[in-house]
Amino acid sequence: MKHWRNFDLQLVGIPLGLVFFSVLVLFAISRWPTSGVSISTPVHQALYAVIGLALMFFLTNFDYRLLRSLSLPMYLFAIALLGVVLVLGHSAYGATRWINLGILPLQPSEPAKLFLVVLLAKFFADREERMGSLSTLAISLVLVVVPAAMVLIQPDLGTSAVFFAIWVGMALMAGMPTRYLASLGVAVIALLPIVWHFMGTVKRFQYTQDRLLIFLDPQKDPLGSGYNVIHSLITVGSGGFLGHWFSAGTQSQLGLLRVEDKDFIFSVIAEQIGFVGILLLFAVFVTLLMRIARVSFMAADTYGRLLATGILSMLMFQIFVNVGMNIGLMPVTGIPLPLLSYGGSSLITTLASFGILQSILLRHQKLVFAAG
Amino acid sequence: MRKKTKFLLLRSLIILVFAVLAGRLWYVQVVMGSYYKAQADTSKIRLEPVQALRGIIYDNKGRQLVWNAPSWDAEIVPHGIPDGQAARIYSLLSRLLGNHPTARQIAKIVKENQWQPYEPAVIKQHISASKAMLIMQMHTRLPGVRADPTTVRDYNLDPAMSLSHILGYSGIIGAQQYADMKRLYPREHITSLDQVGQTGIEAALDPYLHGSNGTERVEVDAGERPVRTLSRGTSVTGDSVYLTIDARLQRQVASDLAAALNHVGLRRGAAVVEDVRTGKILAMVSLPSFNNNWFSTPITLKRYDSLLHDPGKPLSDGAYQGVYAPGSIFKVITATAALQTGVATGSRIVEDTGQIRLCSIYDANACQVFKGWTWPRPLGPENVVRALAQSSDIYFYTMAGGNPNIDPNMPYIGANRLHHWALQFGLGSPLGIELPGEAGGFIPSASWFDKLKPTPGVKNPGDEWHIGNTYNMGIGQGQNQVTPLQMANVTATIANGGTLYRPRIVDRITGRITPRKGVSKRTRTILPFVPQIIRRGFIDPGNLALIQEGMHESVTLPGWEGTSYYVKDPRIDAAGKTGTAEATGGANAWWMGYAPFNNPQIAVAVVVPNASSEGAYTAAPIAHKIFEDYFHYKPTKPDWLVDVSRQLTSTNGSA
Repeated sequence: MKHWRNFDLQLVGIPLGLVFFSVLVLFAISRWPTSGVSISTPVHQALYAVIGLALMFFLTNFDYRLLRSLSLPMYLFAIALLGVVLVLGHSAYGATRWINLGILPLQPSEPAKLFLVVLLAKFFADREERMGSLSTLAISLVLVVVPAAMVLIQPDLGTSAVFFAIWVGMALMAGMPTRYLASLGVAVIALLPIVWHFMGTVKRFQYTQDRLLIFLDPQKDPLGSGYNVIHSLITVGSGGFLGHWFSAGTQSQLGLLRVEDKDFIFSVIAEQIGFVGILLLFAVFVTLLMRIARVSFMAADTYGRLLATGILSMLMFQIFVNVGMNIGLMPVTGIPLPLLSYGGSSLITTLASFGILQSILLRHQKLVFAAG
Repeated sequence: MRKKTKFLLLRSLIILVFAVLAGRLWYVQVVMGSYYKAQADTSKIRLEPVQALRGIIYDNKGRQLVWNAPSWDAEIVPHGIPDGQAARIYSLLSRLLGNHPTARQIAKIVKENQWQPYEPAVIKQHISASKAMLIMQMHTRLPGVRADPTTVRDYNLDPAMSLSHILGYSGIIGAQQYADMKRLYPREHITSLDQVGQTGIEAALDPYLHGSNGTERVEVDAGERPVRTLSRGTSVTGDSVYLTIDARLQRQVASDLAAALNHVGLRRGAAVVEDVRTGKILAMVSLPSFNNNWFSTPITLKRYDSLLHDPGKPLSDGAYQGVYAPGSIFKVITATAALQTGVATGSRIVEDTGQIRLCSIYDANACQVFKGWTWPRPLGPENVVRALAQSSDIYFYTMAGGNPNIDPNMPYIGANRLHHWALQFGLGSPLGIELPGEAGGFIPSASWFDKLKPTPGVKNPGDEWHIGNTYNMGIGQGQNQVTPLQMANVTATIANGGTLYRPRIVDRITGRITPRKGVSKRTRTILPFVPQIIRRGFIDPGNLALIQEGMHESVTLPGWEGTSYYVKDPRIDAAGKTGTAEATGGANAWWMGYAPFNNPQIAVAVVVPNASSEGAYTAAPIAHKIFEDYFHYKPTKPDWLVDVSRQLTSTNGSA
C-alpha cells in the first residue's frame, strides 16, 4: 500500500539541487583553458542525471520488499561484473576500475555497493532473532569480504573500505553485539603490520601503499604521488573565508590539480565558494543525511530500516573520506563525492538509492485508518 | 539498546562527522588561508603546452612537399605584468616590434585575454630571431613578455608546381575552431596557439596532421618567464600524409598548361591526370595559382584583397571546385545512354545533314534550326563510333531528342534518361575526393526545368522543357555544368571497363596518432590505400567497346577526320574526345581521353575556360604533352638532382 502523502520532497529536491550544482561547476571547469576537462563532461553528467532520475522514480514506485527476493541474484551479478573488470577492465590513473561500454564507462564497484546493502539488509533481517550467533557474524563477513577483495585487487582501497563501512553501520543497527565488533577491530589493528608488509611485496599494491605513505608525508615526492595532496590543500586553502566565486586567476584554473572533475572536485568547489559556502554545503549534506536517518527510523519493517541504514552508512562514509582527502585529513583513495563528482556509475547508483529510500517511506504505515 | 537511543546516536554521529570536517576546513581555509593564498600566488609552477609538430605531407614517391620551419612568437602572459607598469611595458614592446602592433593594440590584446591570466597571449607571430633574442635579453625590463619558439609551415615548393590548392595552408586556430577541436579531440590538448589547417589537404586531414600536444610543468619567475622545467611531457608529431600526386608529373603538367595558356594569352586553365585502375589522382593543376607561404605567416590585408579580387580566381581550384559547361565531351555520356537504352546500336546509321529543322505543326514556316558544328558541311552517314570520332552534333541531337526530319516516331533517349545516365557516371554531385569544397556541378532534368515554369501572377522568363533543351543537353550545352575532375573520372570509367572509382588524392597515412583512438608506440600505417568503387558493371561490355572505339577513332582517323588529331601519336596510342562549350565570356575548350588504348593506364581531362577557341586546337595539344610527360619522361638530369636544385632555388627565393 502506497501513501503518497508520505512522499519526502527533500529526498528528491536536495539530490537534484546538488547534481545541478555539480553540472554548473563542471561547466565552469570545462571553460578553463588549462583544464583537461572538455564540454562533454557537464553534458554527460546531465545525461547521467536524467538516467539516474528515471531509475529513481522507477524505484520509488517499486515496492522495496520485492528487492528482498532479488537481492541474491543482484549480488551475484555484481560479483560477476567485478570479475569482468579484473579480466578485461579499462585502466585509468594506475588502477583498473572501468568496463568500457562506449558512451557510459561502467564502474561496477559503484552499483556493487548498493547491491551489497540490499543483500546484507535481507540477511540481517532474516536473522533478526539470531544476531548474537557467531554464524551471523561469519557469514555476513564473507558476503562483504568477497566483493571488497575483488575491488581491492583493482586496486581500489577506498571503495573496499566503503564495503566495510556499510557492514559496520548495518551490523550495529541490526543489533550485533558490540563486543564482536570491538574484538574484530582489535584483530584488524593487530594484523595491519603483516598486511603492510605483504602489500610491499606485491607489485599491484605498491600503488596503494604509495598513496598511504604520501598522506603521511606529501613532500616526499612533491611532483609525483604527493603532488595532488599538496595542490588540493593549496587550492582549498586559497579559497579563504569568502571564496572567489569563479572570478579569473584562481588556483584551480591553473590546471595543476588532477582529476579536478572527479575525486578532487571538492577542492575546486572549496576554492570557489570559500569557507562560508562550504558551511552551507555541509548544512545541505547534514539535512540530507538526517532525512535518510528519518527514513530508517520510520521504516515499517526491519528490512526497510536496514536498507536505509546501509545507504546512510555508504553515503556518509564516502562524503567523509572524499572531503577528508581533499583537505588532508584522509589518504587519497579514489572515492567520488556523492552527487558532486563527475561519473555516471556513481551518480546513477546514488540517485537509485534515493529511489529505494522514498519507496520505504511511502510504505511505512502498515495500516491507515480512514480519517475523520 | 533501544531504537530511540540508536537513532539519537546516529544523528549525533552525522553532526560529529561534519563538525570534524568543518573544523579542519576552518583551519585550512581561515586560519591557514592567507598562508595557502600566498603559496598559491608564489606558486611558480605552470602547466605549459608542448606544441606538437604538424605532420609532413609527401607525394606518392615520398618527396617532401612541406616543411616545419622554426619561428618565434612574441607573447604576453597577463598575470606577469606588474601593477602600474603595463603602459611602460606595452610601449617598450611596441617599439621593439617596430610600432606594429602599437602599444594601444597590445593593451587591447592583453585585455581580451585577461580572463585566462596564465595563458600566453600572442602579440605578434613570426618575429625574427634577432628580435626574439632581444626580448629575451631584456626580460628584466619586460616582465610578463616572452619570446617563444614555435614552428611555421614552409611550403618550400617550386611555384611552377602549382600544388598550393591541393596542399592548402594552415594558420593560427580561430575561436570557433578552438572550441570545436577541444571538444572533438580532448586527447590532443589543443591550445589557443595551435596551427590548424584552413584549406586543402591541410584542412581536410587536420585531425591526422595536427599531432598531439604535450604538457610540461615549468617553474616561472615573477615575470612569468620559464626558468626551469620540472617535468617534461612529450608531444607526438602529427601523422605523415602521402598524396597520390606525383610531384614530378604535377610540375610538368603545370608547366605544360602554363606554357600553352601563355601562348594564347590566357591565365585560367585546369588539368587532371587520374590512374584509371585505382582512381588515384596523379596530377591536378589549376592555374593561376598562389603562394601558400603567404598564408602561413599571417597574410597582409592588401595581398589577400588582391588575391580575392583577381579575375583569374587564384584562390579556388578550377580542377575540382570550378564548374564549366562540358560541350561535346558530354557526347560520351549521351552515346552510352543511347546504347544502353537501345536507342542506338553499333550498326544503326543516322544521316548527318548538317542541321535539323523543327517546324511548328500548325505553321510549316515557323521553324527552328539546330545546326551541327560543321554547318553548312554535312558529315554524312554516321554510326555511333564515327559520330563520336567526328563529334557529330546531328547524330547526338537525334539520339537525345529524336529527329522529325527522319522519322517523327523514332525512339530517343529523352531528358530524364539522359539525366539518369549522367548521374550514373557520377556527375551532378561531388565524388568525394579528400579535399574540402568539392563542387558537384549540375545536370538539368525535365522535372527541375518544370519547377522553373512561370507561376501564375509571377512574371519570369522560365518556360517549359522542349525538344531544343534535350538537344542542347545531348551535346553538353545548356545548363550542364561539370568539373574537370568529374570528366577525368568519367574517362577513367570508360577506360577501365566500366568501374566508377571514387577519385582519391590521399594515398596513405602513416604515423602514431589515430584521432580519437590514441597513440601507438611505433609508426605504422594508419590508413592504407584501398580503392573505393562507387559503381561498376552498369555499362554493357559490348556498348563500352563501341564507346572506346569511337574515342580511339577520334584520335586515329586519317588526316583531320577525327577531332582529336593533335593527340595522334603512335607511341602513345590515345583515345579521347574533344569539347567546345559555348559559355559567357568565350567558349570553353575541353579534351578528355586516356592511353594507351589497349592497356589503359591514365585518364586526362583538360579545360581552358573562355578560350574562345575549340578544344581540338587549345586543349588537345596540352593533353598530348601530358601523355608525353607520363609515358616518355626523359630527365635531363637525374631525378633526385632536379628535385634538389628546385628546392635550393626555391629556398633562396623565399628567404
